[in-house]
Amino acid sequence: MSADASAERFHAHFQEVVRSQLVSVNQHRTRTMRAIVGWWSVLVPVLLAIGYGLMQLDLSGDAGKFCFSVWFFGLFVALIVPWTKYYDPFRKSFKQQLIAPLIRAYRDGMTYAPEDSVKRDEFDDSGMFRERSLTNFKGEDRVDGCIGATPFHFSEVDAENVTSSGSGSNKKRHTYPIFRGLFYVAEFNKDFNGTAYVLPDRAQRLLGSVGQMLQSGKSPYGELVKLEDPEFEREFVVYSSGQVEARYILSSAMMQQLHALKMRTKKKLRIGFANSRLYVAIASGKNHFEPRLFREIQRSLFREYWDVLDIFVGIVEELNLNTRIWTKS
Amino acid sequence: MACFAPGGLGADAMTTTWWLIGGGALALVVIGMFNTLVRRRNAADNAFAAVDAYLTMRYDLIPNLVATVKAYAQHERETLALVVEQRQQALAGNLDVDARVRLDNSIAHGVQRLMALGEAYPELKASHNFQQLQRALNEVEERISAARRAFNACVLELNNAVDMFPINLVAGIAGFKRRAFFEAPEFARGAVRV
Repeated sequence: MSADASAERFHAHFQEVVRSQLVSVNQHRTRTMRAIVGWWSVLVPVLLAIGYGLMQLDLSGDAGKFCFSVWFFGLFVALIVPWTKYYDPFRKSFKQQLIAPLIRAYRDGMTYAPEDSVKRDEFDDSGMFRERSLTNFKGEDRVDGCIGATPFHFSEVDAENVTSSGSGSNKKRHTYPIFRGLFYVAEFNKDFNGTAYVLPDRAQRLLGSVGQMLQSGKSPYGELVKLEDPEFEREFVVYSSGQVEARYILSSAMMQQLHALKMRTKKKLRIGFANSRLYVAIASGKNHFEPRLFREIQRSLFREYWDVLDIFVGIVEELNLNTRIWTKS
Repeated sequence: MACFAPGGLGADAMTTTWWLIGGGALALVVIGMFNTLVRRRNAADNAFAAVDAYLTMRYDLIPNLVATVKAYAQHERETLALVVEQRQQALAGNLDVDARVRLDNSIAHGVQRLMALGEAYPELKASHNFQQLQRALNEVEERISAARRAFNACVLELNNAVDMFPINLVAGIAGFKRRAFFEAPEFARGAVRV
């Protein structure tokens, strides 16, 4: 879909479906916000007063530890319970009433599952993040679709590596983020064996030819592949299980298309080719398809989510994934 | 001082030691350069073998293609006979690299002409067999192109080593030479971008 056609389609959907619901959604948002802030304004001062009282009592030893633990737990509950009780239903209804129709309107046949995500195995099997092993995985806002012969899906993903050190009371938990953002999976149009990974090129950008020498060292993603397109090489570094396979996947046209995708998204992109699939990870740093609570919900919010769909659904067309002139049909 | 004390190393011995250390370091550098050249030459040979493997896949498809085209386009006997003959020459394998490259380019051109016959013979174009062959050939051609690009990348690395100082000194003595790049045949330039 061209940018103009997409903008027109968004405008039509906004006028027909979203606009009429904006007032009621904002009323619901205000009620939710007032309820949460109301509970907080009662519970938090009370708990702060209790905390101040505990400090005055000058408790020490195990009794002191116990009292402050209970107080912290109380404060945590006081902040979380009203939020869960009021925000979650508002969030659910926002997604059902406005986000699901928005996604259906983007393209016929697309589906939206707010509580579902790309599967953990799928994320792990992609081999896109090999620096740390995956321990914690969660996700939401799964979108499924099919353009021509190419099925695709994507969702938000939050993947972490959690380790612990020490023992007993000195035990410490360390959390390392692996990936937070949107993760996209599509059927690739060529059959291939092995893997190829297109990663952001930090070393060459920072250190020039010295950086390139460093990249030639052993990588968990395979051997370094130096490709012919200088613009592509400036943005990305490619690792693959084989030099020929990498070039079979990354034809000259594909390199230009990936470069154009990077320029359009203006985000840090990781692209993987494995299991006859294409994977794209965009570290967006935002929680998408969510309502706002403390600011008015306006047209711009829906336009922002429409732009996310433009990027991900557009990948199939932008990378010509529907071109089926090879043995894979 | 300890080193000039009786039993310590004299000035001559020190000089000899430094010469030995310098000579050893130089030998290591030369060995490293030689090994780099060998690695790059082997990589180029290996990449050439990959091109060869995919060219063989193309040859394997030709008999099927000829049989399919013959069934629908009997007036194209000359083109068919030429492709078959060229395939046999290539399989005979007694050609030098330049002649082989020329022959492969000619075969590629012939195969492309056979595939283009689909436009002139609608029944041929509609045939399931022809469509399957078209897909298989597209895949093989793209793999050949990828293997050639990989070969050219290896040749670039080798040629850089052969030309650059000081590794070119080792290359000259050891008889390493520049290699020619694969160039896309004229008819294949400007092919459909996918």
